[in-house]
Amino acid sequence: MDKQRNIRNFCIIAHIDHGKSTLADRLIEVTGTKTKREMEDQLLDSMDIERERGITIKLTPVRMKYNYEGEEYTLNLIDTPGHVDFTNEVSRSLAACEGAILIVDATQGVEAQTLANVYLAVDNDLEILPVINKIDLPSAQVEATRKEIEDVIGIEASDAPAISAKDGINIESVLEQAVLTFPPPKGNVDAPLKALIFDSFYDNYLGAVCLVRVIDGKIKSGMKIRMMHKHKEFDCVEVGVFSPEMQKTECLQAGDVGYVCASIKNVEDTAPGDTITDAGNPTKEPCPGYKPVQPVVYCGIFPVDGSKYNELKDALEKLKLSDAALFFEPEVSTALGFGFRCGFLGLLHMEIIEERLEREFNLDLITTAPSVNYNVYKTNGEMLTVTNPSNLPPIAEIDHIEEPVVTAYIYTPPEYIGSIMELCMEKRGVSVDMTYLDATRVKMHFEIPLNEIVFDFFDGLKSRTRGYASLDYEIKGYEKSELVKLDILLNNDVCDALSLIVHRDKAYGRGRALAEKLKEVIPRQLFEIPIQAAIGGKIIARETVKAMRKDVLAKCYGGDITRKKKLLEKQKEGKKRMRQVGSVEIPSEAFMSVLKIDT
Amino acid sequence: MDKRRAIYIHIPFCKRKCNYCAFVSVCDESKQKPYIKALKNEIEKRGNGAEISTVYVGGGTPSTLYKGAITEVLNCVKNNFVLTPDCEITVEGNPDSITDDFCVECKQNGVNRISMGVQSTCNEILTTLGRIHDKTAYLCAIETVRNHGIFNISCDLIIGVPNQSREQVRADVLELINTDIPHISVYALTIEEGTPFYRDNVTVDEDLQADMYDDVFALLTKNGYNRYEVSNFAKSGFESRHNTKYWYGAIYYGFGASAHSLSDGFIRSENTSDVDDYINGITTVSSRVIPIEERKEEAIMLNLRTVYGLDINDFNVKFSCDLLRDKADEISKLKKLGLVSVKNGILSATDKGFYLLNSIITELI
Repeated sequence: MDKQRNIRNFCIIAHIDHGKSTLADRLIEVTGTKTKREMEDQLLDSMDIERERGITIKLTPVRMKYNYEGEEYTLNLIDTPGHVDFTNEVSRSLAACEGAILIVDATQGVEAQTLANVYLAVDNDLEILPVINKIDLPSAQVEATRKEIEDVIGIEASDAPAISAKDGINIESVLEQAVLTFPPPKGNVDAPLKALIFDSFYDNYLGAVCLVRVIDGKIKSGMKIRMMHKHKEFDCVEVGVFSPEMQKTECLQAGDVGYVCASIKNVEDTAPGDTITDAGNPTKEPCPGYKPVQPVVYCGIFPVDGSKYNELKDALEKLKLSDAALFFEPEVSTALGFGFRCGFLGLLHMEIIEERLEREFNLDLITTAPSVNYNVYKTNGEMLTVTNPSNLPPIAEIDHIEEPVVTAYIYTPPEYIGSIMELCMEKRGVSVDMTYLDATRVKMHFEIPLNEIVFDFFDGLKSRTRGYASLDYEIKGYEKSELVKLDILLNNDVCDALSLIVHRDKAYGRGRALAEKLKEVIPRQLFEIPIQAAIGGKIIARETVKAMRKDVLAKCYGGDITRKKKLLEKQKEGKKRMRQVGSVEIPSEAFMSVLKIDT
Repeated sequence: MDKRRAIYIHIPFCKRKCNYCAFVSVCDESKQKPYIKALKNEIEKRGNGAEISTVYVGGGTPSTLYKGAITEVLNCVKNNFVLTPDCEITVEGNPDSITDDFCVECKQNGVNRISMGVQSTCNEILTTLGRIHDKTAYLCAIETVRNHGIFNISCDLIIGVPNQSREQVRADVLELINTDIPHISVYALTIEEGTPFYRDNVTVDEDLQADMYDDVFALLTKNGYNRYEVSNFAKSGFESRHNTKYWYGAIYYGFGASAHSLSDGFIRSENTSDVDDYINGITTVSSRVIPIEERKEEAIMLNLRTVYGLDINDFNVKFSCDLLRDKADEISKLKKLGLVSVKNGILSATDKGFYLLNSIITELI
């Protein structure tokens, strides 16, 4: 009997907060894979950050057993990350499935952001099973939601299970429908091994572990395997499945989802999207869709306490083991000392790394303004790639600069078209076209310089559309642009950590805003501090931090000097968090606060 | 400079708590007797016959004590220590409770200095502060004290109170100058945790306080008072010897709830701040030897508070260092900013520098 007939591989697509993790938990519970007590809430989101933010970063597959009409089925649920930074990961996990459950919130209907992933799933030839969730809520509109799914997405929804993942209502029907709707895998067990790596992670004992979907053939321990894109060979030492803990099995074969360990020291060698094959009997073609990861956003990361440089280095190296997309190299700043220039897939990826460094490694960090890769063409014909404003050559040597531009799709209810237009124009965006998806949803297409998006675009979009609009973008290419380096001078010394590369038209506004913000965050010192913003030698904005007049504690009573000492200790502690730029002391927080200014 | 030993005695009783005050005090009069008993116990226990040249009875409000309490306490001190013939004995009081009886008792027991909490001569400000006396009460109090033959009188003022203007502060100072008392303390209001001001999120304007201090300094200097410490002004010869001791590492014995002591061997200790615990015989709660590095910091922090400044040679010998060399950059920066001066081997804060002592000290340690 063909084992594949009883396998269903699927993922869940849902808008944030529509209940993806809750449904996953219920499925695991109902199939008896885990009892309720064994489960921590939202089992699949295993990182603290994921659980807190309600987002999924790393993919975790789960194998569940389900009996339907006397036959046992193996259901492999592959979780997908829900953010544009990780689109690449989404498409890989979709490629590992035959079906997708689409969760729609019965109180909110189809959300624009979900659409992008639905289309991605359809492009990957996945069967879609719509599920209407949150029917326990009084405002649930099940029938209207059904109709909306049919109108907006164009898929049949009359049989869509109406459930409450939270209260565990109708979960069975989701499992039944999954068995009925999703096709079984159609691989060839006897063909040469072809397994898609859709994710990998680092384990202290096992090394890099690949999460795979076997397309054709079989993989078992002892086999010599080859990474087809990385051109590296390893000895497979263990294969297994997730239930949801790792559980060793004899072999994985066509249709199966599981893990492969091969004493791989570095996750860089287990690139998601790569194909594993039998080194002795390789398959002809690797799985399609492999894209090497490229950092898109950069920033400097420095320890608040300069002596923690080595700890930061160790931490980054450890994170790199499990995150092939993280890039870093040493950087020296006159203001911030020794640190690293780090590259990320996007802003969320950047925030996550920063947060993990602070939480898991207990580091206090200063990060500089996010930047992108600029192509700088010098008058002598040379071309430099610059991500750090400090590395920009003098103006006289620059012929012209190119900056990356993205194709951005913004999905929004029509009432926000005006303010989104305005925002995109402010951000030097060019409107390409606009499509009404239906009466309540518009897809706006722009081309926007990436350096505008990395700055504060998301915040702007969120606040102007009350959170209703969503953004999807990909790099389109490089375009020539009038870019200048904006410097900040504190008491007449340039503070390199505050320099930015900006468009000439925006330099004045940005310079003024930066100076104003710094005036707020730099504490008064013993002397007056001029804060200036400058392009080249030209001052474009100026603010002043007035000299401090009084800080003494007037009274010292009955010989109690403890309060004075405490104050002194606090001041000494505070001094440690200060960075000296020329004669001026700047609190670490000041470097961070300038990242969030509205211009 | 008087570097002999000192005694501080804390009397934690008030008629009511003021809105700015974080010192330990209670209003329950029934605790006075057991407290004085516990206080005498502590003095007897720790008394070692040492020679004492200043005694300071502070609070709280010592003038609210029951009749005879000051006699009991000072007798106890005299029985367990030796007071020098020139001993400066100060007792604190508030204008509303400085009575004939109080003054008689003080005089009889050798008290030769009275420190009075006037705080303001403006009724609105007194109300804001939560004081129970009105703007003229201090005049009667000064007269009463003088009638009993005590002329070394000090009055406290508070500046930088919410809604207080520079004019008001100047008026306060002029009023006090008019009484011809020889010592005036001017404290800038600080918001202390646990006070009603703190709870009400009252804030102070330090720039305005600096302006007020400038005004106060100008007025008092013009009228024959010298600033000898950040907050203290006196006519020549009326500087409080007791106050100055804290800044120069003199040994002092603190008795009573929340009192602090500095004993031989550079041991700093602190009594419980719980009045009930203290009554029940619990005294010292923490005590530690100050390590040399910390003493060095203390010396800079404390010495710079007075006009006498820090004796560089003494300091170098005591801590085997070379201050002017070790801190050459910092001192030169501070000098350039007009905040400190180095003259005749003395490092001291300038008038401008007095207001910025915290920053100066942070630079120097």
